[in-house]
Amino acid sequence: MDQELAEQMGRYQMGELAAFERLYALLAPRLRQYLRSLTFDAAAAEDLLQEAFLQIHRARHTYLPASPVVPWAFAIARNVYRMDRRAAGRRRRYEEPAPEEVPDLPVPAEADGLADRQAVRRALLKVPEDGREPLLLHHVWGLSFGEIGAVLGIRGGAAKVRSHRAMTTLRRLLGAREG
Amino acid sequence: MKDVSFEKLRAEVARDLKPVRPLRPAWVRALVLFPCAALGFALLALLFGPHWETSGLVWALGAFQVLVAYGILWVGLREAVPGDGSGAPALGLAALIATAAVAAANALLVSLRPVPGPPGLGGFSFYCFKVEIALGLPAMALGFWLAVRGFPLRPAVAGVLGGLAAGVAAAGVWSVYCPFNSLSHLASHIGPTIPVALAGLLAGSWWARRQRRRL
Repeated sequence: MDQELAEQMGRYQMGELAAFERLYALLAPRLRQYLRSLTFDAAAAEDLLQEAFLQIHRARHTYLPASPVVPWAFAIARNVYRMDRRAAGRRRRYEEPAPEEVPDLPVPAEADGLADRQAVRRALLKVPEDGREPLLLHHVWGLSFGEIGAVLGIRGGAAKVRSHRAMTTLRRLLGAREG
Repeated sequence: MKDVSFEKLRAEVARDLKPVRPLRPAWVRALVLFPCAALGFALLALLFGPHWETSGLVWALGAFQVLVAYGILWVGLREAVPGDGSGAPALGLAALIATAAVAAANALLVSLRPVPGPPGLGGFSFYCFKVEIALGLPAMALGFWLAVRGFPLRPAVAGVLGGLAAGVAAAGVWSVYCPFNSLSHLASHIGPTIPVALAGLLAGSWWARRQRRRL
């Protein structure tokens, strides 16, 4: 898939609309899910997804041929979210769901067997945000820790530590629930 | 079936879809610093005549500072590619190491080849300060332009690194013209990097605000 993304990105840079459509088809589900995990709001995530693709369009010349497309696109999407959050900060647009609600978070395969999916989602919400994001980027969308570092603007080692701590917290939370 | 929002997005992309040339890697784009440094030197030669220093040590340390500036600019231009920038601690450390390397190079020059200058050097020190600012600001503008030709996600960081690189390069170029080396005079050679870096920071912050307004 990574190779196809890189090929489509090259064709998109050459001005092919079909390549943009294919890129959208390949990237949008992952970016949508990522933005939902940040906003906890499907409608807001959808708005941000459209804006992220517009920014991807404006930034398409900065994609370096043969480099991985996913961290590049995730970094742009995250920036769109950050800018929007800053602008919307006073309106408190992005509020974490209340404890009784089940957040719309993807479930990492590693945590799938620990409890039912709803319980994992509730536990994920209790994991600190700075750990939850690298955990999901690695365990759900398969980014390497180096790529996560590039997306989040931290070192790859720091991303690994945060993800590991978050997974430990998640296991502890689910273990405590089971006990 | 494709949704309405995708069709709207597709139409917008189609309106503006033209071939683009991918950016060259940051290390290649940062090479522009060397002709800029040569141009700065040529400008000084034009203004002040052939009165540059002939000491190999002075030239070597001047060249070293331009090399350090190249490294800073390289890191700054990587910031202009989404998902390619370094982490904040690594950037801070790189800037600190670069500044320390320039200070050490100047201190080495003072200890190996001290030229204290005449009494009342203060006025000349201010002159050095002004010349370096005059050399550094256009270089900062060029570095900033190179950064925003990309897509910096942290424009303030890219700006401050571009400014720091410009200030350090200006110090390197001017060091082969300034005849004096003393500890008290050193501040007028290293000091101008700070306002030039701050100018880069301001430019980057302005760009970030502009980007947010467009969102």
